[in-house]
Amino acid sequence: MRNNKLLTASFIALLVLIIIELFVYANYNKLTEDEVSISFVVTGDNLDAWENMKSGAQTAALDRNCQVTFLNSPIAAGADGEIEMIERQLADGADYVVIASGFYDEVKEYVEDEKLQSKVYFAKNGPYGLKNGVIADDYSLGKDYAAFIMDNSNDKNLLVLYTAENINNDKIIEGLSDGFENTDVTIEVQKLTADDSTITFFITKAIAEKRYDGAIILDSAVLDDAVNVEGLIDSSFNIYGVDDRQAAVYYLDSDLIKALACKDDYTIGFMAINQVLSKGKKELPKVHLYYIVEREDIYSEQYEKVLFPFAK
Amino acid sequence: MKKSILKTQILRVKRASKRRSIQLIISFSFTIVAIISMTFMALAFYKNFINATRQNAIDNNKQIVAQMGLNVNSYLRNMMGISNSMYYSVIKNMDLTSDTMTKEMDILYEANKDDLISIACVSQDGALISAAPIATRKAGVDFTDQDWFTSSEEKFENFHFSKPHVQNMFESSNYRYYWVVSLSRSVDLNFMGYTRRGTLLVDMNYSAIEQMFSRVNETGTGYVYLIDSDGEIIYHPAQKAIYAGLVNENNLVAATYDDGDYIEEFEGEERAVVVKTVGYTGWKIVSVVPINQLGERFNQLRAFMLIIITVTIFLILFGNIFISKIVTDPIRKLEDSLNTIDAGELNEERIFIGGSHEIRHLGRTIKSLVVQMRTMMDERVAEQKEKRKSELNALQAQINPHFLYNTLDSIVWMIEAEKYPEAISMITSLASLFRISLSKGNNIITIKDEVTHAKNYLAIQKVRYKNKFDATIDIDPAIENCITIKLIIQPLIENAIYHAVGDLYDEGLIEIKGYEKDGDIYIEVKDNGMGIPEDKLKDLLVEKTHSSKKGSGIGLWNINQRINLYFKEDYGLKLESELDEGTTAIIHLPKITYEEYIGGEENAK
Repeated sequence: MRNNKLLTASFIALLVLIIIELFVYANYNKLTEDEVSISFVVTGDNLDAWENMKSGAQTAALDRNCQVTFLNSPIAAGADGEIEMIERQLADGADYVVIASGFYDEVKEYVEDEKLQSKVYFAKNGPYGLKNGVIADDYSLGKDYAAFIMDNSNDKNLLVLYTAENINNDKIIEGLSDGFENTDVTIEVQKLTADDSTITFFITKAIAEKRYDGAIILDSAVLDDAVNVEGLIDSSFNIYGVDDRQAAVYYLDSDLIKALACKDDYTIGFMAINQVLSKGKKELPKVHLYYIVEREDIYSEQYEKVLFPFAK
Repeated sequence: MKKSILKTQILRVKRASKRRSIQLIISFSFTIVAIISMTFMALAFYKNFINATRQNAIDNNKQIVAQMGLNVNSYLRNMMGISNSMYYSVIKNMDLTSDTMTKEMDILYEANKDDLISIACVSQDGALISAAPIATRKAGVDFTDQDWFTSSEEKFENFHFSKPHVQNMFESSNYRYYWVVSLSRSVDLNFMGYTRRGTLLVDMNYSAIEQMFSRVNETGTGYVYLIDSDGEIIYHPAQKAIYAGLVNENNLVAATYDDGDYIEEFEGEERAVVVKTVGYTGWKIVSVVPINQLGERFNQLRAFMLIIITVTIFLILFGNIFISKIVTDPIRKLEDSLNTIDAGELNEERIFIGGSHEIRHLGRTIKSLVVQMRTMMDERVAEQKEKRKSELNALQAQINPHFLYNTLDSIVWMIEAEKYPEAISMITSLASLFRISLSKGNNIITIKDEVTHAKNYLAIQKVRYKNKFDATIDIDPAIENCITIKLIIQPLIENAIYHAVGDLYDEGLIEIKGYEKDGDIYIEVKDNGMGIPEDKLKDLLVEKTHSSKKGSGIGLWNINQRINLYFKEDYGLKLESELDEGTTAIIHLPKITYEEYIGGEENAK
């Protein structure tokens, strides 16, 4: 009787095992992890400016069963354009959306209202230390930039110019203020309207008045206008840029600006994808997400590979 | 220690197997052996298959790397060809005092502009002689500081390939910076017949190399990267991530590898690496395939193999149980047969004969043994029975010497008293008594003869006891021709005389009755003596080993035993007694006529 029970149990166990194995075999493709689809939304009118970030994101996705789609939301579409893009991507089957938002506050509010924190991650723009985001430490950038300026120049009166009011610029300004605090360097923060003639006029005037030794420019729009101001090259007015574009590197290489602080878009893109794939659980590596470079260092081994986006 | 544990385990298994049925042992042991063999074979096959497939993948990678080597080599040779063309066809034939090479350089550049970024010729002191397509040197750029220049100055007979770098010497109007690999060589420049040394630079477009490798990396498993002889990365699909410290690569170790394939462990991951050196430059193309990625494609195969193994185990188990049942069923039936023998039933018809040849043979042998045993036992029982009969008969046949002496003394006395008729009668009774006692050696006689024997005995005893008792005999004539064992009534009469009526003051009475009841025969010998106490009465039919004491009861037990031996135990002697009333001995016999007995039908009874 006991033997019969043992045999029956063996048969049942084997039958169950066969059924499970057949199920696994028949559904093998379904049981294996589906490809993760990530939409990477950036603000801007063309994607070329985001080549570095795209390259970093795609490198991170290599051999990870992950598909990254890069999309841009035109600046003119504003926050609504970005939100619509997020909604459309999620509706179209994207598992996650990473957004380098030009309108962080509005998008953040939308994400929180819709409880999409586990679906939407932020990159580059936003407050440092965000749980669902990879953001450079803008405050430290500002502070380090202040230290760099004091170490490498005799500039004492500096303008801080920007057009876009956002948390990143706020933090840089805060860092700069703290960095120059209790030193002989004074800064004057000036928010300009994003109008070429206004900017050009303002900088031309500043150069002509010789009241300032230079300007720390936080926006690409201001920087582009500033380097084209007549008389800049012959003046002692130093421009310190905060810009990630190739054009800014060119300005530095051409000696139009004295130094450049730029964020490492490649690493930000790389880490953002890693963060998404680890569902925000894995701690990100402690790496620098910004650099402060002067002309002499552009082609150095340290910065050449960072500043020029071509190399993956 | 381990040996003793193993020994203990083996003993435990042995002990456990003793308690299990042969079918279970066969089924499970065969199944386990089959599973172990099958698993071993499957693993060996699987391992072999995996190794072959992995080797195949590595071979494919080798081919890819070889092809990449050819491509890179071809590309580099093309660049060296451009350099040679420029040098041998243009520079060497030109007097730089009066001629300019710009036009030829532009033509050469235009013809190869997909692979080239720039061509330049620089004098030994760093002056730019000619360049294409852009001739404006950036402010502050000193050619003599450039690596490609110093390399060609150090070893002017060779081609020199630089590490990838951003081309930073010439003005560009479109903010574009190009990654290049600089190919430089020392050249002889002719100035009015005077030869001065210079450097010819060909900046190869890095994107051409990048495209070559990125196309390879888009297909297949793993990736391919390019390093120089020092292990510096020239191309890597995650190059910038490596520079940023986000990803690590084993490039410095790979630089030490000779051409071939290797299995290396890097950051806890086993990887198949194929290395191929690109001629002249010393660059190395390294193909990396993580071993676990090679195994991924076998996951489904593994699942399939598991199913096959499980189904096979299932079939083996079923098959083994079925086969073992066929083998062991006859053994089990034979075991059941032996159990019946063990229980005392020696019936050869119950012995199972069936199954395989060996078991049938075993069954037949056991059957034969059972037959022999039963025959022997029957013979032994019969022998014992006969012996017992003989002993009991002999015991019963003994004539009490006192009885004979007293009888003869009585006869002498009668003759002396001239009571001749009484003497003759007594002698006649005595003679008849002996004749029936002998009965020609037969132990079975008719009731009539037995009664006659009793009458003769009574006649003698009456004379001896001077008619102190009376005796009546009432035998149903219908049973007179039925058989009885001889000398079973006389001992009862003797007991009645000696223990009951012989010593009575009043006249004793012995009544002898014979009748048929329920198809059996009953013969009663009843006396009117003092009776026998109940406790003594019980002992009278129990066997006594020996006793010479008068009235020990051996006679009664003997009668009962003899009846039991000759007939069945249903028959025998029964005693009933009541104190002061008397005792009745009842003989119970089967009703068999003498003719039936002679005809041998007593066995049926």
